[in-house]
Amino acid sequence: MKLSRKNGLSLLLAVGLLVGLSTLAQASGAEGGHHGGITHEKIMDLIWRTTNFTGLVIILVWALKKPLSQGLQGRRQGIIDKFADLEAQKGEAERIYREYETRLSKIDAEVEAIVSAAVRQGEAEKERIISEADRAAGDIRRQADLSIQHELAEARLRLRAEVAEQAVAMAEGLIKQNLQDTDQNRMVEDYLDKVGAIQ
Amino acid sequence: MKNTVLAKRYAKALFQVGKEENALDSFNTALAEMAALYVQVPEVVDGLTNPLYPLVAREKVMEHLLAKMPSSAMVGNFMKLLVQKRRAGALPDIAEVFQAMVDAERNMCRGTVISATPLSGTLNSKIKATLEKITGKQVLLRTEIDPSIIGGIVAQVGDLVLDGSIKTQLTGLKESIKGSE
Repeated sequence: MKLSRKNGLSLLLAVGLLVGLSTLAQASGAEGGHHGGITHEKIMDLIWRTTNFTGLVIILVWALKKPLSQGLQGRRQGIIDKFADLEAQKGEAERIYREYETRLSKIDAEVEAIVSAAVRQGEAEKERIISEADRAAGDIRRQADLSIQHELAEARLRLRAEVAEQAVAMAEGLIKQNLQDTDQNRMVEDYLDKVGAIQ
Repeated sequence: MKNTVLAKRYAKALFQVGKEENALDSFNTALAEMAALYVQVPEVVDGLTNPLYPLVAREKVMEHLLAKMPSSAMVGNFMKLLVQKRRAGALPDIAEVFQAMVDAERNMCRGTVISATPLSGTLNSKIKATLEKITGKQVLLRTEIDPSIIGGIVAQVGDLVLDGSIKTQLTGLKESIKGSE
């Protein structure tokens, strides 16, 4: 039967203790029963207590050896499993990390592409807005010019109409004031001559 | 509202009869008098055209009017026919068209001369002669005074209008000033 290292050490310790005690008992016997303070009964009591303790230790070792061994073995296996599990989790985490790293690198590129597209779109929109504003400003200017020209033309027409009205009113007043019967007759005759000549 | 087509139809019928009987003048006179009465007296319009009155009553109104003015039996029947056909409202138009037909038959036309002041007889004759020369017909002129034309004359014969008034010349002058650039 092969003893384990720990059991061997325990057994060796117990045997050493017994040898030591028996040597001590013989030495005390050789001194002629005179124990010099330590009596024979006390030594025997010590030997008895030591043997009792050793027996208890052996019994305990024998009784608890198997469950303790099994418990420790289970604990060892559990730790090994835990390590394996943690290793697997670590591998999975590393895989996920690499995956996310790849995706992040792609996301950076995508973000960069989106940002550059947004910048391009913004630039185009800016150009369009400026162009639109320029066109609107041109339209407003043209409309203002047209409006001014229209107002000027209308003012000119109004002025001319007013001048015409006043001129005709003055002429009418002068004619009414100065028109004589002879003038009236001559005017009618001239008109009739003109009409007759046309016919 | 004038109903020229209707008036022409009735006037043409009466004109043919008058021409056959050689009574255009008497027909014309009777029609003109009745039309003048119709235009000037609102009660005549009411008595001849109001649909609330029975036809017999409207005919009696017409008979009463005919009795008061000398007219031939033919013209009387014509007037009664207008009442019966509910065409008495067209009487002024019929009289006007009939007058035009009679004038055309006699190569005549009627016109109006408007002047600012009364014209001398000489001028009136000259105007008449000029209009007759232009239209080629004998012209019967009616004169009117309208100071608003200031001077000159406005002569109208049928569709022909000769406007030699100072008012029109001033209007032309005004438009010319307005339109000149």
